[in-house]
Amino acid sequence: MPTDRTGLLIIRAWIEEGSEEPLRAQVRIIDDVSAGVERTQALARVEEVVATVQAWLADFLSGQLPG
Amino acid sequence: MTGRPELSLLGSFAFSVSGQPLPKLSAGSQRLLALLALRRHVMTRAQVAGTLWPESTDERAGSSLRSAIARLPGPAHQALRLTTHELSLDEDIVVVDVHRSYALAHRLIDDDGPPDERNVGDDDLSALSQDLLPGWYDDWALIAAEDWRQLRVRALEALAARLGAADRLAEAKAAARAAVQAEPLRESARGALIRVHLAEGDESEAVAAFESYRSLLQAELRIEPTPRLRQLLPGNEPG
Repeated sequence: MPTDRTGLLIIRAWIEEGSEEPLRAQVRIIDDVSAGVERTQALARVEEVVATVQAWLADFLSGQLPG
Repeated sequence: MTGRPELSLLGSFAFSVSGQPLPKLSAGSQRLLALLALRRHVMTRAQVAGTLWPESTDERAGSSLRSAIARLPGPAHQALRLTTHELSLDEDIVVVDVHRSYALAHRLIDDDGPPDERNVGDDDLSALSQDLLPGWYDDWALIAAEDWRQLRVRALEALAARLGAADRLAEAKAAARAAVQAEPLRESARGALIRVHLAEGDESEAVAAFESYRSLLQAELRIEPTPRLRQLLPGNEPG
């Protein structure tokens, strides 16, 4: 099992004024920076962002991420 | 005639002399040049080493820095200002593409009035359409890349508006499309594109652009565009 893998999760958030749900969060996920494969996810609700971060960290901790 | 060396950070890393890229630099040398180009001020050797090799001991990071400097080919080495304790990039010697693009972006955002033909060309639109050091995951590079992304999208929107006002609609559309491509979810970019279509008198394309954005929002976020965007379309103006 790899022990020195570094992953990144970057959240870029902004506000769309005038929207009923104004949060926009673009989540960039790189499971292993040495591989450099990125995936992105767009979210508009705080609880979804939190759930995404929690799920990614849990997978990362258990070593289940592809890489 | 020998031109000034050019360091390119947009799209990908390259160091060129008279338009000819130097053979591939080592990863450490590339990161050293990129960091100094982005910081644009004198840094101590310890600061540079600690930033580039944050997980190494001070001694090992210092050794890596010395190696990165020693492995620079002549023209790149000459672009550095080196003292015993400090180093920086000599901007009198080397031209950095993103410095020009930053200046262009700020000029587009801050200045009023129609764009000057001499100030905005195809190369500028191309530069504003490119990410900074894509695929680099160092903290300092990621922060600079995100900062540049935000700036360039705002600049593209401003460029589209100013070209549209000057009736240069084909160029305005290219700028607006570049903004949409950079930030598909950003409503102001979609608004810029819709305004250009309307300026062309092409209501169907304006509606198509709105519906395309609406579909994307529904698919990705399960939400609707704001009333403000819808009100750009004919027949939906605020009462």
